[in-house]
Amino acid sequence: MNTATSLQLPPRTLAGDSGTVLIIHNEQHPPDLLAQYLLDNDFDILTAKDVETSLELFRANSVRMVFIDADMLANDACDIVGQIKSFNSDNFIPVIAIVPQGEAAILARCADAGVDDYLETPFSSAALQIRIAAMQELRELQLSYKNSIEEQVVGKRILSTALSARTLEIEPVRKLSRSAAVFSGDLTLMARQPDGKLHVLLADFTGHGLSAAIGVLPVADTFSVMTEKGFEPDVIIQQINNKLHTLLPTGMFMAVSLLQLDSELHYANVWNAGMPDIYVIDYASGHIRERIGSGCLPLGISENLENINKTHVDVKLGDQFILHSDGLTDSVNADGEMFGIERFEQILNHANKTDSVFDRVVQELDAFCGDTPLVDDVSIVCVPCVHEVVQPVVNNNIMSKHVTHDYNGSWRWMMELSGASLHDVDPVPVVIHEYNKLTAQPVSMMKLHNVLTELYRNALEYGVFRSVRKQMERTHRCNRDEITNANLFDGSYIRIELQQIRYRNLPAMLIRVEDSGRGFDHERVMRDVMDRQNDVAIGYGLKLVMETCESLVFNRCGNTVEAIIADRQLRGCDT
Amino acid sequence: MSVRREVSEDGKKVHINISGRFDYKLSQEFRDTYRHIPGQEGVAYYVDLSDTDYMDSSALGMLLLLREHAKCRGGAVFIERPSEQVGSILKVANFEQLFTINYTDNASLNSGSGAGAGA
Repeated sequence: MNTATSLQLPPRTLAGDSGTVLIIHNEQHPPDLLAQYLLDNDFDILTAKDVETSLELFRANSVRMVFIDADMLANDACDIVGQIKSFNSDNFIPVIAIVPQGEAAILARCADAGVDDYLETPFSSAALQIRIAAMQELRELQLSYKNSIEEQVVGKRILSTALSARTLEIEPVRKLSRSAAVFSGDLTLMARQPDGKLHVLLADFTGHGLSAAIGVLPVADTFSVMTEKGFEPDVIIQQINNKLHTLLPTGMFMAVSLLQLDSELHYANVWNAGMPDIYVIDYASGHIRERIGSGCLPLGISENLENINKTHVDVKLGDQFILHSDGLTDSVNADGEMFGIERFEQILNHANKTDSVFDRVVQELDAFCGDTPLVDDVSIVCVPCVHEVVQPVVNNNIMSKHVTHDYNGSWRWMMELSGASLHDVDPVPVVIHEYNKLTAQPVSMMKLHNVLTELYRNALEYGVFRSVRKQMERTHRCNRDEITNANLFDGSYIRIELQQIRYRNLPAMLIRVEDSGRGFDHERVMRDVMDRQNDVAIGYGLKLVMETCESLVFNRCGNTVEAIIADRQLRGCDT
Repeated sequence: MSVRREVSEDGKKVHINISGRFDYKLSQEFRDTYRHIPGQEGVAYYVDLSDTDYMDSSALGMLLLLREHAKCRGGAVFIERPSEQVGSILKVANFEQLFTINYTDNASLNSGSGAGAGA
């Protein structure tokens, strides 16, 4: 080793912007050539002669690369390389050993210590240049890998938020979802049909990672929206298949299992397209009672899905449905042995009434796999047939939502808000949403929105609120303490009705709004509106409505109004 | 795991043999077995899975890509002698609907759903 002392180094040389290099050596000075090369190439240099100082310097500075004299690793009781590596495990900080030429034993020691590379002395500046360049390239690769992972983590957070808005959380349903990469290609979703039936979907996209996660959102959208509209699973599966067939490239597809649980817990229907068997565990015996195997192609492969048959299962209270992805049984332990179907079924066959079979599967899986990394995404969903799972939706005083189809496919839709929902719920978006679902939009959304908003506000302000205020005044006089927000609106209601009609041969909508108030002198107000003498809010709002509508008619006392809107412009475009 | 390929003299029969794990790691190699053959009209691809002991969904996807490749050029894909485990994976995916699968050497995988034969 070169021990010439011609170069006097200060403890820290602020030489340039290539970064800081730590040289750990036990000579008086670091090798001249090394120091000179680093200085010439704009590196900052820190030097240390013992382990303690090295680690101190390392912690206090942002070190980008470490050179270490192999002698320092001779008695390496404190595992200096390990400490350096673990201190900043997120970033790759290359440690390069300087080894006397031809010393195999010393080199072996360096390898054991975990250095990234080595240089034999004497070395040339060209050798040094190659080593440093290679290490920096590695470092940059590691950085860009890290960035891409970070980006994926952000992406996953966005996806999770989006997904959580598209699925229900139902407590007694237990689920495990582990992903082999940042993104999971497995997907668990739950939604409820209007009549209370529960839909549980478990899907597994080809492969795993980002590309497997791409299809997740469109599937979640289709599943939740269609379930909430009351579509049956075979139609939903067909629709998802069409969507994925258009969306996914050849070679990518999605296997899916879907469970529909009757709200009375009498029966369930099950669909399986390319997933492992779905199990039914019998409550009384604690054994697997039924297996429902895959009956058709996974989704997204063929344009027309054939044989998507449902399997009917009679259910008894306490039975459990187990859905899982093949990643579960394909999980391997350190010896490369698979968890396997046999082991899995053995656990399922020993379900008992006190312990949760779900917990046992997870425990056994963890015990089996230990720290072995996942090869595929692992999912298991356990749906117990208990009343908590199928409790009907509480609808917060928004009472009847009826759709009746009259002549030639036209329809009538009604919604009633009563009690507290009058001040909790804004019905306009709800009505617009329903209108969108029900019709090919005979009239413009903007017109409908404006008219609805005004008529509802009118009913609320001059119908319900005025009556409530009058009642409050009376109650105040009797007993101040008796009024609470909860019962303030007891007995009050507003009904909104939409009906598809034809008006003078135009497609039109009839909007009927009725409130529980005592009405108002609509004749006088309307007269004022016509004479442009009324600037108060009520008149102004009604004026807007009149300008928009084909017809506006109040009943005698003024607590019910019917407006007809038609879209002449739209029709003009059509013809 | 490895992918081997043999092309018949007239170039109309391509035998592809996959041993060990057939999974996403093989996608490039598998694609190379059929992508760079000159004059690919009417080629019959025989994918021999008798030495394959595991297959993931990416591998199923690779078979679909080969199927598309062959179909576009008037060819066909035959899946040969899948091992029992691999056969059950093909069965769960109902790939008989898409491929001719020749079970001869490892018979006993008749249709019949839900038998749980490694499903």
